[in-house]
Amino acid sequence: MASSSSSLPSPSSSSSSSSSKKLVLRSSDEKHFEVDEAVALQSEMIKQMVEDGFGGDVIPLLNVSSNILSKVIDYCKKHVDFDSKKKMDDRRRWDAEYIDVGVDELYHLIMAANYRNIKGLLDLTCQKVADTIKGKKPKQIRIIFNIKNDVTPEGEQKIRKEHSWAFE
Amino acid sequence: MEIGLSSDDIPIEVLSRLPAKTLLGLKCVSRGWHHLISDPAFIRVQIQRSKEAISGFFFQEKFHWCDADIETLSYIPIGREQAVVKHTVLDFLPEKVVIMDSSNGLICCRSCMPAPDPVIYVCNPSNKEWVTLKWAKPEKSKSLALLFDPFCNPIDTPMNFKVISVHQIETDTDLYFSFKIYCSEKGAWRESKENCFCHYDLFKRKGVFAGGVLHWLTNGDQILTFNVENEQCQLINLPTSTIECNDLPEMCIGEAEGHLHYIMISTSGLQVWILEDYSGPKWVLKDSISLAMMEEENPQFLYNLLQRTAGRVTFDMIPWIEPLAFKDGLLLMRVSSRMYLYHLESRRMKELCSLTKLGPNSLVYPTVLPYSMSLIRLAYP
Repeated sequence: MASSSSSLPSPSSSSSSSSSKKLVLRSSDEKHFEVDEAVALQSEMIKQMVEDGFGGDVIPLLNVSSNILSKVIDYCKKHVDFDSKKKMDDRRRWDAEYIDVGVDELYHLIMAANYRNIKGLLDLTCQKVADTIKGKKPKQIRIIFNIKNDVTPEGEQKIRKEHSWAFE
Repeated sequence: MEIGLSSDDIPIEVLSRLPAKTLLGLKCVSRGWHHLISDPAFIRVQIQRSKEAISGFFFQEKFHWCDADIETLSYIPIGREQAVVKHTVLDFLPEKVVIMDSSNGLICCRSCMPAPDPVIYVCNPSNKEWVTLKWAKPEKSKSLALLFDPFCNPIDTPMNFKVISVHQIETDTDLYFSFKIYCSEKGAWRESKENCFCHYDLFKRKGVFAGGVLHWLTNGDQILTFNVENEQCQLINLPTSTIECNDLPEMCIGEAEGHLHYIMISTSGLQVWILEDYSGPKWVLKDSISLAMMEEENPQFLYNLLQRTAGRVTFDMIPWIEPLAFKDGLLLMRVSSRMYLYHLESRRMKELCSLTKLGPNSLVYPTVLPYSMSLIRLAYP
């Protein structure tokens, strides 16, 4: 069942110069990803692991599935590129397109960014969810995020009354 | 997405990026969200993260020559197409109050006088929490400034505020301003060693905080400033002399991007000056818009502006157009008997309400406070 590193869906990197140091990441479904160290170091968590001397081994990412991991690696690779070029407009356009995904995928990206501590990706994904929430009614938000309504009608009435002037 | 149920910090990461007003509405989503949005630790993160936009203005009239306090108090929201003026926003306080200052979501006010035991309140209207400050020598003429700067507080320290009381003292030979400072951390008043000799009185009484310094207009051609950090005061000359001016200009001061802005309206139009350097001082004229141009750009609201403005020949005459408060590029002004919001960047006006909605009394020199909402908990600092 466990795939070996021979089946690794190596992130299709054309640019990665063979001289740069590589790290191997393992997703929760046992897929292996070989990436440039600079790309992996976008994650504060991995950076810490490398500093602590774990860089030579395969780095296991227990909570991140392979499809989310490859998406996260996409982000990190692109942003290593951006960091060296500093083209703000390009970056914004790319980010907007990148983040145009469904709620479920967004959630897993947030989890991955949070777990691996990738600040840029965490900001991007959380802001996207915040923007989705803006301007929606509580009822719509419960549906989108699958939240159980445990507020009684009286409770809701009370909250509304308490802040009535703020809702004008 | 199980944003409401997960036990990690993702709901904090997401919700802390939303403005206070949105978050108040989201308290209805679930008990979990309600709990989170009311949690002081969450609020600290949220305040640091999102700079709140102005949601409205508090407005209270003042008699010009008579010393009595006016109880009527209005809140003018600016978000909607048609502003619905509210009069009960501060009714959660134990008594009627006179508003003194606002700072990043908090309001400072004092008891309406006469009162048996006048006190100062610092309150947050968005959650109806308040604290009471003892006031050793209550006096109506004292100007109170409130300073609450959540952006300079490191994330783990409690949210502290300061109240600065300015008082003019008269001796046989001189007139000077003295400053008293209340620090919420210590819960006590102390007197600053600094005094400022000045023969003018404070004008409009409203202090404006910008870049670490408090500013008050005086009825001379100078602005009184008090640096809250080093407690140094200084008198700053206005960019243009109002005394030598041919007509009677109307002015107000306000803050945007950390700088003090001086707004003046006269027959030569609307001028916006920025105080760039206190030594000198160095004022930079940011905008100058003639009355004719203002009319042309806002024909539905303005007409005969030059004639109306020039027609005012003494200070006793109520000005036709009057700037009342300025913050972050938004100017609240009265034209005739209506209130308008002027966007400095687009130069467009929006009608907010008629003066009759704001109370029946004297029109002259009301206290007007720009207000932005905040979730800050005063009961749990």
